[in-house]
Amino acid sequence: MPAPTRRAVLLGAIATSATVVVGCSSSDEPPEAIEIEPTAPPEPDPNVLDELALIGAYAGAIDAFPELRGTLSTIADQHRAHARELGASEDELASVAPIPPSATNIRPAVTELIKRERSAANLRADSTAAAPDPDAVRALTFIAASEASHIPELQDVRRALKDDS
Amino acid sequence: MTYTDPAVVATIQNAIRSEQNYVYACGLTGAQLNGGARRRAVAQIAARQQRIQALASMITDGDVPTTPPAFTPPIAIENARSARASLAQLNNALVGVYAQMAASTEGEDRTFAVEQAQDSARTAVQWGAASQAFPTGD
Repeated sequence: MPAPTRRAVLLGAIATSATVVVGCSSSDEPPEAIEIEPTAPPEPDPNVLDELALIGAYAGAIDAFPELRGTLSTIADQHRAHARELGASEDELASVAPIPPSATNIRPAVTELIKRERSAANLRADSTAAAPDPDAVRALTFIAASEASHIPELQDVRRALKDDS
Repeated sequence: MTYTDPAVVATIQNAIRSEQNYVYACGLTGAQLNGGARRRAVAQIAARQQRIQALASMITDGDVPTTPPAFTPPIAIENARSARASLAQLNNALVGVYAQMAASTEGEDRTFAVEQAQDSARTAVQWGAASQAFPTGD
């Protein structure tokens, strides 16, 4: 098998990673190529993704059951505050699409939100174990507590709804 | 784990004092609450005393603060409505206390602090407070 030419090596490098070409005006030598190792995009923060999903779930529930707008909008606003605290951008917040509830009746739809809040509170609490610094622990603890408090609030909403709704 | 770092001990002492105050406030509400609310307040006295024991086990005996003889809640307890509001406010204030403790401890003690923060926020709502994005007693 013939040895690869310099051009083939360069083209291969361009194909697999970013390559910077450094020119030299005083020489007829072809430009040197410096290979830069590709950097993987940062892993999305599961807590941010979960907050965005919660915001979408509340938007979907409000679309489906506008009579719940009052309480649900307040809680959704708190999730927006959580997402911002965890590093979500305004673009990310603006691009959240409503997630319709899978339940067609209002009480089961509220139950779905309660389950989401319970899962969120657990995820936030578990995340404090590996939080990178005390400020992150503090923020995650506040958020975990807030989300835990949404559960009795939503249970009150569900209790106030008629049994057959 | 027994903590001796003064900064960490201070956060645990703060949690103990706040819980001692809450226990005292629950006692004050006894004269104003009836029925299920009164039973809940009484049950919380026992639960919070257990919390105090758990917190005390994290520091040396000499660092455990003594129980104060009295406490004046920020929201005066004068009737059933203010009793509920006072207990809700004290619970929301506890969230910040436990968040500070979680930030200064590690392992199962951090887990304990986070769980108590969650329980305090839930209890605040059960006493009638609206949920908050970052619960505080303000």
